[in-house]
Amino acid sequence: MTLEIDSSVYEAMILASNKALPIEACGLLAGSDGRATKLYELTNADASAKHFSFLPEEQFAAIKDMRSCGMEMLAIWHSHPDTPARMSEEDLRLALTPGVVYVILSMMDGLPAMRGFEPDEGVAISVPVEIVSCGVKSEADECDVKAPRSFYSLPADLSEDIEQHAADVARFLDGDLLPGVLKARRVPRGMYEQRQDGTFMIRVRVAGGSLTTDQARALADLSREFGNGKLHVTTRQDVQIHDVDIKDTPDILRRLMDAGLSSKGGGGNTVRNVTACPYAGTCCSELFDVTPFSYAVTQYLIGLPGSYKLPRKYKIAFSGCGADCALAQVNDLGFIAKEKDGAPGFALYVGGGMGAKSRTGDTLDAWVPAKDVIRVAETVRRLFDRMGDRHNRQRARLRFVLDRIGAEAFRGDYRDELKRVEADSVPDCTVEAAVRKPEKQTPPEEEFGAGGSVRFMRQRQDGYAMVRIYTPMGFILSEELARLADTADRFSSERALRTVQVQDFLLRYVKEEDLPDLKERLVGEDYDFISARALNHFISCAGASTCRMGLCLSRNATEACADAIDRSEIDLSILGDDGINISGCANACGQHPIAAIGFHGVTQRKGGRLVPSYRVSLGAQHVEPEARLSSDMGAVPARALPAFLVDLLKEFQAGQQDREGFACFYDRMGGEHFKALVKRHCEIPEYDDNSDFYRDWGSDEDFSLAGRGAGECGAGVFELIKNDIAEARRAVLSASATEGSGLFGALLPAVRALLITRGIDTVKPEEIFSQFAGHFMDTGLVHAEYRSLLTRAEEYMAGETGSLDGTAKEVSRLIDSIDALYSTLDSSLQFHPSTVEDTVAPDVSQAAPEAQDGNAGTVEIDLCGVACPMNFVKAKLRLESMQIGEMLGIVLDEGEPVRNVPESFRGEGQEVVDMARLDGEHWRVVIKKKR
Amino acid sequence: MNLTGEQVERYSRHIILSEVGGRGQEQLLAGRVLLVGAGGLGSPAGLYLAAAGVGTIGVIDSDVVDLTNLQRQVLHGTSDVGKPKVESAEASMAEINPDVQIRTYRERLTTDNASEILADYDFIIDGTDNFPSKFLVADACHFAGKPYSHAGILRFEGQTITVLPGQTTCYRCVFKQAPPDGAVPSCSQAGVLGVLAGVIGSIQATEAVKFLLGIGELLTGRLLVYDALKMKIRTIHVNRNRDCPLCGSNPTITELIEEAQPACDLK
Repeated sequence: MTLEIDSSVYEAMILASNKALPIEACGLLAGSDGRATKLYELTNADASAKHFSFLPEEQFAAIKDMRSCGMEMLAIWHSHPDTPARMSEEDLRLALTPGVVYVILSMMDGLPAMRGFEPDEGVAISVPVEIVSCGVKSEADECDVKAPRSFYSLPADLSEDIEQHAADVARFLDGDLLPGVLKARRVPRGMYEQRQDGTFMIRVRVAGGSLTTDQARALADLSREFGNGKLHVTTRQDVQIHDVDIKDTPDILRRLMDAGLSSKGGGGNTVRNVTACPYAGTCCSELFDVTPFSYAVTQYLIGLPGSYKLPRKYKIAFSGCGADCALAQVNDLGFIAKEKDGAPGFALYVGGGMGAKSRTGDTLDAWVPAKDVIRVAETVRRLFDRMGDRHNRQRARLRFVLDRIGAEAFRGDYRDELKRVEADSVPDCTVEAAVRKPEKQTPPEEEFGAGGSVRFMRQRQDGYAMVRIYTPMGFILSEELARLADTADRFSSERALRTVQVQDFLLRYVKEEDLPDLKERLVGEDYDFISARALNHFISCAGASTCRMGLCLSRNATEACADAIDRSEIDLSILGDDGINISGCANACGQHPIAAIGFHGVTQRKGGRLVPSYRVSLGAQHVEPEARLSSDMGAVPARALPAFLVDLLKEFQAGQQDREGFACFYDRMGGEHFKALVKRHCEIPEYDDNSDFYRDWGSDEDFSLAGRGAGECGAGVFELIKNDIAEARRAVLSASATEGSGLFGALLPAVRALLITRGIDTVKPEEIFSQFAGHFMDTGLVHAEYRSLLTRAEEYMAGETGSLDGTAKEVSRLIDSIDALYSTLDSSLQFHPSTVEDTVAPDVSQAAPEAQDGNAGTVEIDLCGVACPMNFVKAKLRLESMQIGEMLGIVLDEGEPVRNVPESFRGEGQEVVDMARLDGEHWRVVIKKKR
Repeated sequence: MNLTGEQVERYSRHIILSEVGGRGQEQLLAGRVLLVGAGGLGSPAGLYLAAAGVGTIGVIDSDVVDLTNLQRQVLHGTSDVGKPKVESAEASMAEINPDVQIRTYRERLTTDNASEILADYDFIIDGTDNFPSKFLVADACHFAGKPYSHAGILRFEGQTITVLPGQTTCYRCVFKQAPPDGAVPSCSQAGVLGVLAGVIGSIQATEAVKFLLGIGELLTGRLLVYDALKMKIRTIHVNRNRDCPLCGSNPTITELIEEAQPACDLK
């Protein structure tokens, strides 16, 4: 049933709500045939901002009036001055009138948002509300205003922001806006360029993973119309539309906004999607429903301009209990529900995260009351804004602040800042949560579909069930999502879908008696995910097929693994809630560090050739307080991965006790057991015996890093470099001090180690030495004093066997300096030698604003009207006279100068810290002297 | 920064290079290079060094310009025939770049004057056309401790090596002494491709510039051999010779001596 409301009534409701501020407005909606045509404004006898009640005499008079006009009471409405349009626990408690819709009009942030509910045994069941034209033409135009129906309300300036984006795109298409400038603006708006063909991806924020069925259909429509006809669920519960043309992006953003959705903050250095347990609100073991908190924090933070200019991304998650299904302990800021004397609140974790250097969060506070949630999120945002390292993107995340100053110091700063935030009257979080007594989650009631791709689960509300739908690697076809939304409309009383962190969907509030019909419908409609079998249980990043950082073709490996499992006797329901996580490199986009079973792409060397391989990491678990990252078990060649995985799962299937999770099994068996299993699969055959091992899955060519540009071979090369340096150290130790051949055996891997960061992959010693000289000696990364050692090595190669005699010490020192340089390597394969860092002011919190603003410390030079390349020549000469760490501000003309000069400085290893348009014709570029 | 506005423009393509920059250009302007011989090799070297803004260029040559020189010696023009080579060399280089201070020596390099002349320079380019002179340059540079670029050309083939005396393989490490008279044909008997001098002389100038800037890898310890007919370049590793009469452990040449060998009779 849908409640229709005349637009004139809707407008009167908004007027009344505004008039009543700061207290709640309330009244009755009357009409006939499910259409409300008349509003009765009644007095809020409670005069409260949190609840309302009618004066009985007014209420009777209104109902009498309805009868006399032949109308019936359709809805009881009230406004929420500063909270979202959801039924609070209080509202539910007081909703005693059967057969009417409870309409809530939220005026939060001045943006009206309306939703309707039918309370059913203490649960708010959403009822669609539609505003309909009142029939008079002149007013009809105004009736286009459609109330956003969303779980979070959109920032007030979103429309303006979208039009700014539209203007940017128009200028870009006319050639008036540089691609780099457009990029800097669109990425924080949630739009990324894909690797191929100038196509784009839009990442839509789905707070707490909650999507209305209308929103799900809107997303499906958008991808069908503008994208590749598929949607992708991410591990942060966002939904992505892929393969979009840049010219269509403004329309897509407008239509997302119409659906109450936004991609703002989907990328870049922003507040990313705020996640929550997918089972929050329905889970048996939770303390209270945390999803409304994720909406509240989203709503507050996405309205702040400062949320889009952070040092790096800021990720927040809410979990309803210590099982921590939302991974609060590996987010920048994590909330885990707690209770104190029956009151709801949270334990706080800070500085967790995954990447090349993964880490679990430190405790920030063991208890904060629920009303402080927004202030906490704002406090940490401010601290991060001030203390995050804006100079080094690879060390910009909050976890590096924690590493730098320590958890204790951070807690002190947090307490001080929280006081200022309170003084700035950042609002209370008004979400009302009722603490309940957790019960044990019971096993799923039924699974069906190939490999258990649909699972029915108990939900804490009696008579209802949850339905978990697994999707292959997070992909779902547009038409499938639309059909799933229709199915949810029919079967889910809340008419919503949830996205799950392991890239799946969840339907909730399905009446138990409807389950057989639902099953019939899902199976009958022939969804891809029903037949995808094992693939549904994998979480994989895109890998080297589309990612610049990717090392191995992780999606191909994933498919090979899924095929092998499908051919085996393994039933993947043994995994329970766990998936199998595969990352293409050490960066953890496939989330292998928190995986019960995880893999990430690396390379190994055999006979001088590269072998695409995966490191196996097992046993992570996220249950508080023993959350831990996975442990490394060793590496297997990519080609051996499916067989290894099948063996591993067979062991688990045979040995699993009492439906335990893999992490428990891991603990029972012990790490050594699994290391031995890895060893059985680690053999690499000789190239001549089986060259397949030297090729990645889905590739016909020998695996190579040659020909990829610098940075393209990704952070997975770290392993290879470590191996080379270790080999060099071993060789130098075993070589007698006077023996040249042993020393050459040490020099070769040492000199070879770092070449891979420059995309050079050769087995020829002469080339290794000459490339090393070119890339590391000539550039000053390695001290020139080792030139003579290299010359001796060349002489050695030329046949003079004695030329390296007695150089053991020097060889050791060269290995040390290569190792030291390696330790400064970041995940985009740039080096940051200490000479540069030493001169940077140690207190980054003070240095950071300088880099942004260009204050007294910046030397200014005006190069308006100076053509290329003289503008660069002049700026460069000025920079030469400056000290390392100093800033040079340059005013440049639009066009060729601003395209070329910053690029030239980057090419020289200098840092471009800022580019800002001054007017239509000029730019100011700030360069930081790095060398 | 001491560069004038005009210099910034003139040398802008150097300054753009990250390995050069304003500092490097100043190093070039402070640099001093001596051309021994203003012939086939000295000509391209001198022109490029002047253009590069090497601040001081010395030229030593006792000859006058001959019509047969003009096929390859691009410092000199038709109207210079009969004039001393150092004069036309000075005029050509000054015309290219007034920044360059040119010093001329209209004489042969000898055991008597060598040490005095070499003392004023940072890098020496051997552009001589006969074995006794080449050994003299090598020996003189060794005793003066001056880095130098050796080169030789004949027919379609040239070779060159850079020597840091006492540190890297020297000319005498490879060639102990001049070949006997008549064993090697001279240019007049064998001929030489004019443009070959341009290639090899330019390589010598490149080495001088790299040396002054302190960048890259010098052509030391390896002999570059250029075959213009096959268009092939090889570099041959040549090790220091412990028995080198000049820089070995027991040197037999301890002072400058004149090698007895006739000069090439093609000027």
